[in-house]
Amino acid sequence: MYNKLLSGVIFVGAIKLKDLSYSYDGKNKVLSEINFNLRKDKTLSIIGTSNSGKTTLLKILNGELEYQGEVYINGILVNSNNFGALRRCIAVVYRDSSFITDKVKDELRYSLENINLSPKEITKRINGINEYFNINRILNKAIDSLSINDKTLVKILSYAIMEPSYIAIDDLLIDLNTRTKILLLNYLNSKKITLINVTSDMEDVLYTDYVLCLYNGIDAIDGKSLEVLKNEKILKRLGLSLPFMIDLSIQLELYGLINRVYLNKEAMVKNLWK
Amino acid sequence: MEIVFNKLSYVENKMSSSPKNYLDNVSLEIKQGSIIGFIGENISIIGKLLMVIKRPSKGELKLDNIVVKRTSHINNINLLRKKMAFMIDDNFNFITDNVKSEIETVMKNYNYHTKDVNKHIVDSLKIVGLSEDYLDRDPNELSYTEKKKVNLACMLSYNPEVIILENFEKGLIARERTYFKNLFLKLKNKFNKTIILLTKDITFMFGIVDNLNVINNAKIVISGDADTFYENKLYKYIEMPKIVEFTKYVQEQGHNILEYVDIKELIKEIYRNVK
Repeated sequence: MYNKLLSGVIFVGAIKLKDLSYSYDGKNKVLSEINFNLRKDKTLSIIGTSNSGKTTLLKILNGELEYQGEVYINGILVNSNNFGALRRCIAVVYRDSSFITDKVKDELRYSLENINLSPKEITKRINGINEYFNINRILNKAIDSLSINDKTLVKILSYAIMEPSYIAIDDLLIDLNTRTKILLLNYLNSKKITLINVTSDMEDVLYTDYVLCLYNGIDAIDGKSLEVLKNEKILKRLGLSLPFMIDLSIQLELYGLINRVYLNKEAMVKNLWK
Repeated sequence: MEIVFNKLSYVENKMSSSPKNYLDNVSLEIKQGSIIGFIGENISIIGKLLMVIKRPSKGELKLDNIVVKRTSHINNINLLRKKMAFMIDDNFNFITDNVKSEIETVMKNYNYHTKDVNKHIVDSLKIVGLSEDYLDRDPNELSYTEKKKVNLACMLSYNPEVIILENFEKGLIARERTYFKNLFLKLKNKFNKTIILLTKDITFMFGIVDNLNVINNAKIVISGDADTFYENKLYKYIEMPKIVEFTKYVQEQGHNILEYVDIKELIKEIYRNVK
């Protein structure tokens, strides 16, 4: 029954949070009344000060915590009956997620075996990943011997290879170098896996369509990435920085040197030194 | 503590078919009371060598007047380690279930005595930007950045001479980064501490390091002061930060602007240049 349920709605639904609240001890709210809608084809960054509830929000999406309010995954209200099925649509990768096996290949295989794929499909998917990321050099290596960049990539891929509808990553992209990061984002895009990226690196916000900024569990500001990033005063008051090009644009705009936000340096320089 | 690397090499799996070279014939000197940055491949090994968790395969490491060689015996190694503190990337193991006893345990382990223990613990927390409310919290249940801060508080509580931090900037937001940069400068200037930053993010070193070392292929390929940030050869080995990339692009276009690592200064410079 659940399979049918899934196949019918898997690509249309959205993630929706309605009056979502959570408290660890019953007194201090870690999250309070978060309302947010995310369409299936739009990626999201979650930013915020430390201790603002970013990881807690991911834990709720992963079904680890009992919350107040409503969570919709794939457009369906999560309850105790459909939880098991909907849980499969979203993969959450934490900073302290550990590896189960020793070797890279085994780790990828382990993930796929867990979702009951045939051996043929398993081999096909591993080969696909291998080709896309060109990771033949590490495929048979021990995970312990890898560099941080490769280790993080393997950690994320061991979830992404299951091809969930959503993948939520808890501040792991900062461990990847830019080339690998772009490759990974393209891969997720090509497989239609929607990225929810918790990040402390503001440059990464530019890679996603939407952004949700948390402050002490409150939704401080949310919306399209560029629109949110233009709210320089709010973000800086929270202690966050802006991506370099946007920060530069806004400051130069104040000096009256340019009149809009430039994302690429060529256009900006051309406009500055006319 | 004077730290001297004397023609030091470190190789792992030396006898196997594929030995892994971490450091090859590296010589360098670190004076007490300076901030030194390391960036590049496998830099974690520097922390492990300094803490004498690993021994050099060849050459020697001098810590004050103690010589660490591959096989040399070191008397009172605990007293040596007491002078140093090393934060390993992403490795926060707390022994107890509240922050107060955690710091107390660390102080006991390192045999650090003070008159007013409670005040000392609160001070250690305050210096890393945490309030007294954290005293009763379980360190294992804190968020990633809070764990990092508690870990630093533990390290500072026994007053080591050398503080080694691996990827400390990871996960911190802009305000916290500035806070800790200022803290490091204060520790250096006021308390004459040596701070060794092992990092992948060169922007975290902007404005604070006295000396920057890039390690590539087990060798120190670049060693220099803050002026090194704009050298082209540096970016053969590491990713170029946005501000350097932008300034270099402007210069390539034939506009003569000065090189800054602070965005506010850069903006003023552009203003002066355009007007």
